[in-house]
Amino acid sequence: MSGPESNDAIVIGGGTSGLVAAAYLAKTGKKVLLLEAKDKLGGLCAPGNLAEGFKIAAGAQTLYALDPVVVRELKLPKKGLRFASRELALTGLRSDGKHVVISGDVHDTASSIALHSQRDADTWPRFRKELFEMARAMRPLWWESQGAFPTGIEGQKIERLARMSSGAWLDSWFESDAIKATLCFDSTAGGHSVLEPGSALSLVWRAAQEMSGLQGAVAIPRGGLAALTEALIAAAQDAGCEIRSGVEVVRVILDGERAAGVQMRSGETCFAPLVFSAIGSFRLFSRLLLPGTLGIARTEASRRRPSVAQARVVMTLRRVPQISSDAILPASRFILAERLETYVAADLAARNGDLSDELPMEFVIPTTADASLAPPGQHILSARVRPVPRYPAEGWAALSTRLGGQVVASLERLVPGLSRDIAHIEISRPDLLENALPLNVPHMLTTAARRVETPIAGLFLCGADAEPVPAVSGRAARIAVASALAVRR
Amino acid sequence: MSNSPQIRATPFHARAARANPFNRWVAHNGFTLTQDYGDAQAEALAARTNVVIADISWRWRLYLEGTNAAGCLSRLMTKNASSLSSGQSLKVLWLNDGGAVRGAGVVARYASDQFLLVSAATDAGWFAEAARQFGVSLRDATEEDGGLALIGPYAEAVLKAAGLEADLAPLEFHKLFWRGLDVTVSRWGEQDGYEIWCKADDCLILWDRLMRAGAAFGIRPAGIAAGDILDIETGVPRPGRDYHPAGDGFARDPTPETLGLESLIDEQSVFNGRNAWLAARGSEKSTLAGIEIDSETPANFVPLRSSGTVAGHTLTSVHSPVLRRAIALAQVEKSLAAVGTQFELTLPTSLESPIAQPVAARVVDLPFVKPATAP
Repeated sequence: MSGPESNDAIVIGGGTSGLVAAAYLAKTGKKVLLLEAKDKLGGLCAPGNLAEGFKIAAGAQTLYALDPVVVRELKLPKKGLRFASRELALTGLRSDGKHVVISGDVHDTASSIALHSQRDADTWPRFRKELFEMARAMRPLWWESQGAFPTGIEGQKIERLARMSSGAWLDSWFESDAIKATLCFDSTAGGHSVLEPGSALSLVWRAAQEMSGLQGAVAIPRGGLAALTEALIAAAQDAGCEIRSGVEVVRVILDGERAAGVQMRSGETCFAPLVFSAIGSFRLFSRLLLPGTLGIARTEASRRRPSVAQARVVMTLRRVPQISSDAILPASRFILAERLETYVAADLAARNGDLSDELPMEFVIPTTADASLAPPGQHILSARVRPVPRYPAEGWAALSTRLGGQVVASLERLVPGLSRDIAHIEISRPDLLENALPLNVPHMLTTAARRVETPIAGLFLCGADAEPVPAVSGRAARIAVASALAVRR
Repeated sequence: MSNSPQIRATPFHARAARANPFNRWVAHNGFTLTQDYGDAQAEALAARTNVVIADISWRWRLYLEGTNAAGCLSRLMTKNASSLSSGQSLKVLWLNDGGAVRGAGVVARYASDQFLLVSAATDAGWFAEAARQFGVSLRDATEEDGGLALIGPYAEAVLKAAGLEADLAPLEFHKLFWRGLDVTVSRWGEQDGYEIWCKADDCLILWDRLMRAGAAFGIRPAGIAAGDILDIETGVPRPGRDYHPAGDGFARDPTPETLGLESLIDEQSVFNGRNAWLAARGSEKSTLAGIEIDSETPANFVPLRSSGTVAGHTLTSVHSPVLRRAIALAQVEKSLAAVGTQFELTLPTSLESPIAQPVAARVVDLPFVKPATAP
């Protein structure tokens, strides 16, 4: 099936993952076509539509899992990727004013924890060392296509965590609610409960990430997350990749048990021996392929969604939020959750289709790190609230009003006068926000090569579904391209 | 009172109860069925020498309907069901994503967009999921109608005597209007017999007509125990009795190879679990074999020893009235599956023979017994 129109590879979906896959393929000299259904590229990191003059990404709030290998190999710094903040501290905001600041500095962190518990302050360096060691031991499995599960004592520890909830694990280390509730937020990505077995492993996965050379760091690029998209587009196009947006793929064309190309909504077809899917795997399995092509059980598994979701609340502020305590760094990410029980109560309420009185949330004020994201003097506050109901009893429209009110009220308690400064507020629907998937421990413990392959030769998964934990990363895309080219060779 | 446990009877229950002299019943696929009508050995023998009827209403029957039904079944089943024309059927397996056997049965095409699946065990969840993915509608007909199997060399003669003209080759089926009853006559069974299906309300009439027509041929009802003997004699492993079907969507066991069911797979067809089956093919250590035991006492699930070491085990074992000895299906190491291979096993002890006795056993060809044809 070669002809003038044929390509070496087609990438479906122009989010971060799709762009990374396309750039890698083009870099090896392949003729690549990337197709994006929406008008804007970037997926979660596409430029969002906030008020005039404000820059915010469509879905993602911070970068914490971007693959450093991708950054290096695609030379993203040369394409314009710079970090406004290389490492955001993690600040647990407490109603008693004794805020916990967890940063890369072990001693500062310990003295901040000591406000709540001297014992926990003494434990912190040991916990951090243990977490980071386990995380590094897991990097071969999570970062490389044929990486192995760690052997020896590290492997045994990981197997234990794979059956443990993040709540129970943090309970076994710490006594104060302040530190436990602050650390727990990262294990609830996708809406998982802090009581869910295996959620402890997702904390290890977070710690295994590396942003701008710092393990477990959380960063914000200069110009917002959309700057990552621009750098990736530049990397792909400079390497000769053809990008078409506003083109929806409706079918993957198969030649027997091999991928042969794609068909678009317009009826136009395009052929290539390699097809990479950066879209959700359920959509791929059930809409773009004939039903059953990838297996009845696998298709069913790809449809499962967590019963709770997360919401995003973004507001523009007329002036910088004056947080009451001086001890807080302005460029940080803030966690609002008093106790582990806050998560449990919110999870129970969300499963019931309702909102809990206290909603755990993480928020950042990206404009304190990069003033160019908003008109002079004005600010953006971006909050991620979870868990919230996936199926609200009252419907999403009614719930989002209530959700917005609750978020503003909680913030107002810590930032007096905040509500007067809000110019605009936007609440996004959780199910449109991102590819939330149930916590899947076997998926987290399988090799990367297994996560990206499909039973169809030449068809590879490279999106967030193929990551151990769905995230803006590009790692699965890098591995999918390496796997595909290794097979072809 | 409606919540109290009740007997789930088949539509033939009234007749079966009258013919069941010792009140012996057995639960089978959720139904209450006659274990034997007095003498399972005599019933099984009659199926080889004369003719018997057996209640097979317990078999799971599922209609798949819709324009995608053919596509759905050809993807699910190990043979291409979409190549069937109306009135034809196929014996098939269905595998999970890991290439393990989930079930075995017969797929019959009633119309271009209507198929019937008949199986010895239910697998409702799997088909519900597949139907959802393919947009196919399902109808469980297990309770809607009843069926009788007519087995034995005089089966066709009894049908003729009853006025049912069914000129059918194996695996064919016809819908007929038979003296006021809508019936389907099929040849889906393993015993070279016939099955007659009708609405639940008509079942007692069906039983009576066949018993009357068969009186001259010495017809008698046969229970579940006799059915097991016939199954084993024909070398058919059954789910729940000889193996546990894969309940999980990704499990790797049991493979078609282990169960000796690879003959039910068309390698050219594209079906669910095919890649996993091909990848695992040949790596199995054990396979299904038929074992003849030098004894009249059956030995269920006992180890088989070859030169002192355990090299397999028996599955269900029965005394075959035709062969007048105990036989068993068995799972043996591949290298020891050749006909004639000798094993030793220890018979189970009982009140009659309380001392464990080792006896010889050997691999023989399957089936043990070929269904007899009319003289």
